[in-house]
This record gives sequence, C-alpha cells and structure tokens, in this order.
Amino acid sequence: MVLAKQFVAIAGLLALVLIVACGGDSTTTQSPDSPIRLNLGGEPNTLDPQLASSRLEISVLRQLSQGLLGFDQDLNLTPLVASAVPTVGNGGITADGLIYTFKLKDGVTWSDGQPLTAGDFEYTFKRILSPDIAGPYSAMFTAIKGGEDYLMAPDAEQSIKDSLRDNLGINAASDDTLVITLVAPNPTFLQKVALVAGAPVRQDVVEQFGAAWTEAGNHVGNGPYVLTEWVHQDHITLEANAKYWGQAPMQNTIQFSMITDVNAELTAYKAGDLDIAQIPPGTESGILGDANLSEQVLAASQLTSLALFLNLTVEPFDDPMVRRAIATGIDRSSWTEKVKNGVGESATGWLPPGLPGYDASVGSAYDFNASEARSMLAEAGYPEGEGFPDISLTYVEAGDQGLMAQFLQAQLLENLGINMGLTPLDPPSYGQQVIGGRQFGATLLAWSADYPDPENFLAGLFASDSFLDITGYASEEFDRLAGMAAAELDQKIRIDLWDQAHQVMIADAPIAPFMFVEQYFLMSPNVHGLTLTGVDGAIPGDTRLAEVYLSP
Amino acid sequence: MATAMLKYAAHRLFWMFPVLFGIGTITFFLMHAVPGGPWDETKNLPPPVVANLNHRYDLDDPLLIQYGKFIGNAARGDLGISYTFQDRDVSQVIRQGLPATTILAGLAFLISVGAGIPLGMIAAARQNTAVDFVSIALATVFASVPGFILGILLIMIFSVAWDLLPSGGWGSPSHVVLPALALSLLPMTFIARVTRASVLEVLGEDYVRTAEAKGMPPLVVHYRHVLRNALVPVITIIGAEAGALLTGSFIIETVFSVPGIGRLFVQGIMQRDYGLITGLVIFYATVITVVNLITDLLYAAVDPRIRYS
Repeated sequence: MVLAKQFVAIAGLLALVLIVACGGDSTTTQSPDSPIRLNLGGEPNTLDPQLASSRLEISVLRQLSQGLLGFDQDLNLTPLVASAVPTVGNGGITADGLIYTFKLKDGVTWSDGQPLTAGDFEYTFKRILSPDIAGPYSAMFTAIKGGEDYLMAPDAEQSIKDSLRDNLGINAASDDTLVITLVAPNPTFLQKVALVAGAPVRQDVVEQFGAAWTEAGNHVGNGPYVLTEWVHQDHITLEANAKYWGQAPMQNTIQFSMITDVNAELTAYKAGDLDIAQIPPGTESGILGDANLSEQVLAASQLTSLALFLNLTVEPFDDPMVRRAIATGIDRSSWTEKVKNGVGESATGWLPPGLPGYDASVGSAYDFNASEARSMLAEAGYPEGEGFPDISLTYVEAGDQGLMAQFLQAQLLENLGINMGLTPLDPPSYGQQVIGGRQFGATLLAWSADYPDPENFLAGLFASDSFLDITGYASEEFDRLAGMAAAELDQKIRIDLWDQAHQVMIADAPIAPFMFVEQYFLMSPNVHGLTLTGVDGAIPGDTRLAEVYLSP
Repeated sequence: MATAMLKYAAHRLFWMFPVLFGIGTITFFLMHAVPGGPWDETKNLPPPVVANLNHRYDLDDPLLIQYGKFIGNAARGDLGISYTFQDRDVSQVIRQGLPATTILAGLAFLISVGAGIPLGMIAAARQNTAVDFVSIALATVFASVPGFILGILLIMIFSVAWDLLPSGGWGSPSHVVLPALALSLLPMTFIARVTRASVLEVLGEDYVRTAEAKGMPPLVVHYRHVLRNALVPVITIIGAEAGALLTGSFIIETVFSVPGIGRLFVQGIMQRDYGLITGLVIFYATVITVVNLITDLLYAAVDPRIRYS
C-alpha cells in the first residue's frame, strides 16, 4: 500500500509535468454526430474484398461494399445489389441448377457517383478465381464453368491465363444482367455469392492504383460508408457515403480502432473510449457479477462449434468404443455453468443452433454419464483407464482454450482414469502439424461458419477425400449422403440429407462435441438499433451497422 | 585526432555490412526452420489457394534460391514484401510504424535520462539520508515491475479512475504520455542506480579529495571532476538503453495499441511473415550497431583517456 502510494505520487507528478508540457486533451463529449467507436482488434491485412478473409476485415468491408446478395437476421439470403434472390421460380436459376441470372437494382452507384453495372460484377467474379490474386475464398467458386482450370494455372503463360479467364462462365449480358454458368449443380452457390469475397471492385481503380487501391483516397466502393482515413496500425475512419443508393446511414461516422490486447480493449471501454467492446473470454463471470457492467452485456451466438477432435489413425482412437467413452465421459455442463457462468451452450452434436439442420437431440447418447463411460472404456480394454496409451491434447493458446484444455484434462482423469498431456501451439505450428500433418492425438478445434449451411460444417471436415479431414474419418455412408446432399437442389431434402450425414458422423464419434461458442460484448447504453446475425464478423451487428445510432 | 576518429567510425561502419549479412542469414534460416508457414492457420486454406500463394510469393522455389533472392534484394536496400499486409512492402510497413516508435522511444529516453541522472546524483550526494532511501526504494519497485503490469496500472489510474489521459491509441500528444512513462521507468531507475554508484565511487577518488583540499569550490569539483568522470559508465548504459528503447517496446506498444514497429514484430512472428521479420531484424540490427558506434564515440568526448586509432 505504501509502495502503491509512492508509485502514484511519482507517476502523477511526472504525468502532470508532461500534460502541462504537451497540452493534453482527452475529454470526450457525446453529440448526435459522434462517431460510433468500435475496436477491430487489429490491423486489417487487406481491404481488398477478394483477398480478405479475417473476421475484422469482413466487418470493415461490409460497410464499404455490398455484393449481389446478403443474409438477413434469420440467415436467409436477401438481395443487396441484386433486385431479387434468383430462384427457379422467378426464372433466376434454370431447372437444371446450372445457369444463374442476376438482375441488378436500378440506380446503384459507386461512391464516386459512377453507375455500377453487371460488367463490374463480371470483372469481380473473374478476379475471385484468378490464380495471381490467390484469394482465400477462390476455391469456393470452382463450380463456375472453367473456374477450376483457371484457378489451378498459376504457372501458365499469360496468354493461356487470359484465354482461361475469357472462357469462364461469367458474363454480363447487359448493364443490369449478370449470367453465371456452373459446371455442376451447386445448391449453396448463392450463399457463396453472398460472401464478402463477392463484393464488387472496380477495374479502373484497381488498375490505376495497383495494390494501393484500398488506401483512403483511392478506394471506391458501393457501401453505406466510404473510407476516409486509414492510419495503418492505428485506426480507420468511415464517413457516410453521400452517393449511397440505399437507406442512408443513421450515424455519419464510424471509427474503428485497432487495439490488439483484449484486456486493453476492455479498459478502453471502461474509460469511455469505445462504444462496444469484447469481454475477454474467460473473464465473463467477473463482468456478469458487476452490478453496473452486467446491464451492458450483449451476448452474441456466432454459429461456432467447438469439439475435441480425435486422430482416428492412431491408437487408441482408432477404436470407436474409446471415442464414445470419451464423448460420454465429459461433464460439459460443469464447464458452461460453473466455469463460464452460463456463457456458451453444451453440445453433443456438431451443427450449432441457428444453422439450418440444427437438431438438439443429435448426440444425446453422449449426455454425461461417468459410469456408462467407464464401462465403455472397460469394454474397449482399458478398465479404469488402465493400460491406456499416452495421449496428448494439442490446442492453440488463445482466449480461454488453455483453461478449457485443463478442464478436459481433469475430466478425463476424474471420470475415466485417463492421463492426458497438454500441448499448446501457436497458430502456424498448429496449422502445419495438426491440420496439415495430422500429428496429434486429440485436439480442440472451433469451427465458425463461412456461410450458414450444414455443408460448411460437414463436407470439408468429415468427407474422406477432403484436405481438411483432420481426424482421418472415412465413412462410406457419410460420403454417400454428403455426395447426394452436395448435388440436391431441393432445399428441404438437402437439409434432411445433411441431417442424416450429421447423425452418421456423430454416431461414429470422430469428435467429442463440447460446446457451441457464444461471444460476450459490452455495449454502451446509448447505442441503439444493433442487429446481431450468426454471420457477424469481429464487430457484432456488422451486417447492418448503418442502422445503428447513438443517443446523445 | 579528428581524422583518427573519422577513420575509426568509417572502419566500424564498414564492418556493419558483414554483421548485417550474418544476422540476415541467420534470421532467414531460423524463420524458415520454425514450424508452420505464413499460410498455416487454424483454419487452413485449400491446396490450390496455397499453391497460388506460394507461387505469387516465390515460396515454391527451393530455399537456397529464396535465400539468394532475399540477399540480392536486401543488398539493394529492398527488404521484400510482407506476406500479411499483402498490399504493402516491408520498407513501407517499417516507414509507417517508425514515427510512432521513434517518438515513443525518444520521449522515454528523455524521461529516463533527464530524471535518472539527477535522481542518482541526488541520492549519491545525500547518501544514507531519507532522499537516498526513497530513491533507491523507488528504483527497486520500478525495476521489478514488468512493463505490461506497469502499463495496465497506469491505464487504470490515469484513464479509468481519473480520466485524464486516453487508454491507448495514437495521434495526439496526450496519447504519448502513458506509454512513454511506462517505457521509461525501468531504464530510468537503472540509470539512477548506475549514476549513484558511479558518483559514489568517484567521490572517493584521490583526485577529488585533492581538489577539495586545494580549496576548490564544491560546485566546480562536482561538475569538473566528479560528474565528468562518473558519467563514463553511465554513458555505456545510456547508449545501450537508447538502442533498447527503440527496439524493445514490443510489450508497451501492444498494451497501449501504439502503431509502432514493435507491435508489428510480434505480429510478424505470430503469423510467420518471413519478409516482415527478416526486414525488421535487419532494421533493428542497423539501429543497434549505429547506436553502439555513437556510444563509443561519446566515450572519447567525455573521457580524454580514451583514444581511437
């Protein structure tokens, strides 16, 4: 205490001198024109829609550009620049599911006032597939005629690349009509069109400025806001787009800061420097217990599932009985209720709530039951965990995953007598060893939706021929159902097929489902009109930020 | 004498290049030896995308060819491209981050030297009095509190409790105060302690007693004989600290969200941005080499016994 007083005294003195010297000014006043102050959590690596992939980039880009389609609050497709969502019924999709026709709304303009045409979208979709751009979402668009050949030709001569590009099934039939031809039916194609990767970019701007076209001053978009300032590593300022063709934004300015440290972000919020801040994962219970702050909590469910993935190619996880014993031997509710104070939801299945095809009853066989789990383990040849091989849990030390790993370690020991070591890795090592190299026993993996469809949660991770088949799971039945679903144009039948595939996978237990992740934020009481959706990026409510307003 | 010194400086500057070459080489191969590459993440990219990215950044060349290209470019002053910030090259990224880091380090340097030396001198002059004990106690406290805790503590006091200064960010003079303070306190206490010890040692020297015995006024004794001699070890420390401040603000920049190169360096390592890391290491090495040279030259200016040839 004495030390603290001395510390305060000396630090106060020094600061006072400096404040006088520098003429400090940090008072903030609220006015109707105040900016909405949000934290991205870091510097966007890029603001090029075809190169962007991280959640913070997506949050900025949604304000600057709008593609043909978007998602509404219930995750249904909704038209943005397109005048309607193409369907077979309205003639937008041919009955064979191969040709998509997008009609553009009248009067859509770029932020410099030029009209936005179907030709701009033709340029954009061809750019997505360019091997030279190497966009992270490019491989999702290979259903487009010629797309795979073009994408896989990074070494080709320029003339060959040009002809591959010209032969893509992407054509502006007129200024307001874009026609895209697929090689095979792709029932989730429109959801992919609604990704930020499908946001339009303008050829003349990209060609004039090169990579620097995304800088403030050069950037031209078609969203409710324009980029007026990008001070790298520090902040981004957006102003209302005077040429916006839709409903003008409620608040004139958005200021995105780039505080990387989650605790610093929380402190900034408490100091009144941010209007919304993330609650550092693992500290929710402290905030929820605070009489003042608990009133400002905003809970966002984000279509994110988390499970213990098991490596089926090594002992003892090649035995389904062992995997089922583990799935049954974890008391999930003691994590969500006791450790997390109700943040997040226990999961026995893999498809998260809110996603089409979600079924709460899937995996109910794995509801926690220690004695049943122990008898399954005994049946597999390891009574009370005796003789169980050495296993380790590999995870990325981020957020509260370290705590979660320790919790799971304790659960397996207590309920099954299994000793599990812990191996924390940084993201690139994890990517190489676990995802790329399958060098792990068990791993904690969270999966968030790229697009809100069961296909995005199941096809890549569990189909035996997928590069992301982390566990080495190979089931003929699953592959058969997934193959049928991938080509099924009837939405109801398709979701039903995925539901069946989901149940097959869960019964085989390549994963022990653990929880559906929720993220908690603090939101200042004078922020109004925020709409959360399951596809939000780093900023909650980023799909409709233009509707947000501040009360004085 | 001046020409001898110039020759010495030129000699040292010449040797900088093999040193930088060695450091660049070691960093290049170390970074490539670390598991995981720039495209490895917890949600990996599809193989065709990785192939295209490797092609775009020449990462599909054999490692030695990549190394050759890196050295060739670096020799021409081109530090290559950043893999994370795909629209900017490394020199550009460093240039964007350098002003913030320099301002922060400069102010922290001024505070630590401006407060550290007087504090040490006062403590020495009033040895074993309350002033001495308090300054040593403070020095011990600041020296043992890690920067990130000090940073958070400063934010809690000045931003949250008193609402005097912003909690983070950059752009106005008020943004600089807290990070500079947090960065300067450790070197300040270090400088104060070295100054105190050094002054005490010189005070006991025969020539000081002789000067006092001659009847020289105490102020003259202190300035001409004590301070100048006591400063030689202090300058060594100050030189090292200047380099350390410029290159060592990783944590403080992260805590206060300062858009400097220290924060970039941490991010670069986390994301295996080979280009950014090798570029920054070469930049840091250059800064430290130059600062060390300046320190050595300053010795000669302060201590006539030191001569370079």
